[in-house]
Amino acid sequence: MKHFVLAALLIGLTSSVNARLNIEITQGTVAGVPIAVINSSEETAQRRTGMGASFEELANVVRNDLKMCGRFEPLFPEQLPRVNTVSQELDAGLWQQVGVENVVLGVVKPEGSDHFGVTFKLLDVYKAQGNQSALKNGELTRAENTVLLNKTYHGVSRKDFRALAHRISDDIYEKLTGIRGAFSTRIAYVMVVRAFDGTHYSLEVADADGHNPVTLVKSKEPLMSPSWSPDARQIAFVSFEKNRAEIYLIEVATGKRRLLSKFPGINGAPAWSPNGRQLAVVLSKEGSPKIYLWDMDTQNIQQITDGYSIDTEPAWSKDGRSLYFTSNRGGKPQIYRMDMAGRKIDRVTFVGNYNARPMLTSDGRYLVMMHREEGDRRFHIASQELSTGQVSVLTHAALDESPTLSPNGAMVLYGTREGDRQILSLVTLDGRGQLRLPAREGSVQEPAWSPFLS
Amino acid sequence: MQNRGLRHLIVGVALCVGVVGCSHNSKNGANGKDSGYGASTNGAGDGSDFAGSAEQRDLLAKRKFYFEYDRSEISEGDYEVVYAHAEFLKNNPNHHVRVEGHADEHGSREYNIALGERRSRTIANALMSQGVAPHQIATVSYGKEKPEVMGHDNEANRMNRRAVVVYEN
Repeated sequence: MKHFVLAALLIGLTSSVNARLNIEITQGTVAGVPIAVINSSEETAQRRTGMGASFEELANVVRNDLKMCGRFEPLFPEQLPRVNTVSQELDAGLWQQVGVENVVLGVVKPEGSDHFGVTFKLLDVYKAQGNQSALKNGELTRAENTVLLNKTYHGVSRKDFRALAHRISDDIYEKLTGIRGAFSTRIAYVMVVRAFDGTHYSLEVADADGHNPVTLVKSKEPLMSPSWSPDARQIAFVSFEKNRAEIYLIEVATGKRRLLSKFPGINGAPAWSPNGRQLAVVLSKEGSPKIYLWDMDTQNIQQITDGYSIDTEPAWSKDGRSLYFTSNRGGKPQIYRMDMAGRKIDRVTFVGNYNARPMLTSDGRYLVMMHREEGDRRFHIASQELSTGQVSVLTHAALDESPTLSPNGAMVLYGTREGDRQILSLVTLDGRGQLRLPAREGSVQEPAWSPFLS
Repeated sequence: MQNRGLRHLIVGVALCVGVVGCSHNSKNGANGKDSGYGASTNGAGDGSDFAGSAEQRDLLAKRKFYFEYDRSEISEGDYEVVYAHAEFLKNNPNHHVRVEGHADEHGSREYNIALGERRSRTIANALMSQGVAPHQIATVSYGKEKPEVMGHDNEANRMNRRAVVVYEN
């Protein structure tokens, strides 16, 4: 009886641990732009009066985001000069001294009983206005930082601070790179925890930085291949809960799900078309695994590849005109492309003896995939420039897999092995920035990055 | 005479059901290396439904088949085992099996689902070629999702490239 109670306690403990992703920066960024994100002088003055909330609460999240995207090297307040006056804030010389290229200064002001106004300024230290020590109206002035952005968000409640911080990161990123920020997006992934009573699988959704995880599905049998609908409302996934492969669609907001496909054999690799009207799936009901198009309006299913080969892992181009997939029709797994208009199939990958799991960047220029070189046992994530066929290997561990792209195409999130467990890792498309996202407990695998959320 | 027969049948079925239950749980909990043939006589070669030699019983106790990297052919020594299961299933049409196909950790997940399916279908086809009725056999592929051995060396990978015959009743 004692053993039973102890066992029950352990089970309770295991299943209640809110397994969470943690961000750890491994390889630092190579020449990440040094950026300061701190309280403005106004905020500093407010701090002294001890009023309300502080910009530092948001600055923390912004710094993390900017670090995560691999392009910036955010400095912490301890490393930076204190700004107590506005003129100090705008003093280019002061910031240049600490090697900072951009400065973000923010302040949070109370608005009404429980809302706040959040204002931030983004400054460029090197695009300074005016010359050093110029004469202006007879006064000696110093070179000023250029204000790139000056924005205020009104009526923000405290519980929305994190979301707003991600919005601010998006604003900063877009202003500095010209590319839309992807910090206000979400990721889905499969969590695997091996406990003494068996293996626990769960499908979870979290913020792009791994915070606020929500469990959508729990199972004692494997879950696989999550795929977001283009409107981000649903996720298609594969479940083995009934000791057979089935494809389900789950509504992210409510957790309600419905069974889509349970033919004999494989039901796998669901991939939503960019217009949301079709789901490409893999079925082996007629023999070998083939790719089918499932019409979401009519529920019509159409087989689009044939033959004896294994065809799997369909992935659409953003314009919906092409469908890429993994096939061993040439002998070993390589990536092929079907032109959806004429249904003509061409081979795409020629470098390496195993290329699989294609993903396309939103601008259609690059194919990201799982790749193995001749004579090597290891799998890496690689990108192939479609116009030239040039392949770049982005990662360097032993078994890197399941790449997913941020909707702005700038970051690749993928699964990798670390000791006896799987963790997520992130690399920029140019291969420079690298981060690890291990779960606090258990293994994380098969990440899927959401589309932009409007 | 009739009563004894019926009691015999009930005991036989109860034994099978009860013992298969135990087998399922231990399979889920196992994380370490397992013996090559998952030696357990649950569900088959056990008690009332079985009528054969000790050698037959040993063959039936073997449930796992191993494969070469990227291949799905049955190895020579395994045919004997497959045929023993086929014989049992033909003689006991009320029994069902689920053949589970698996792959090692190399390669992408969905491609490995396809590889695992080739392995489970190879065993299933071999059973059917010996005359087992299709409705007695189900197949499923878990790809690399359910490794039996958690290591990453050649031996661990070899042990994970497998098809397993599971008696559902």
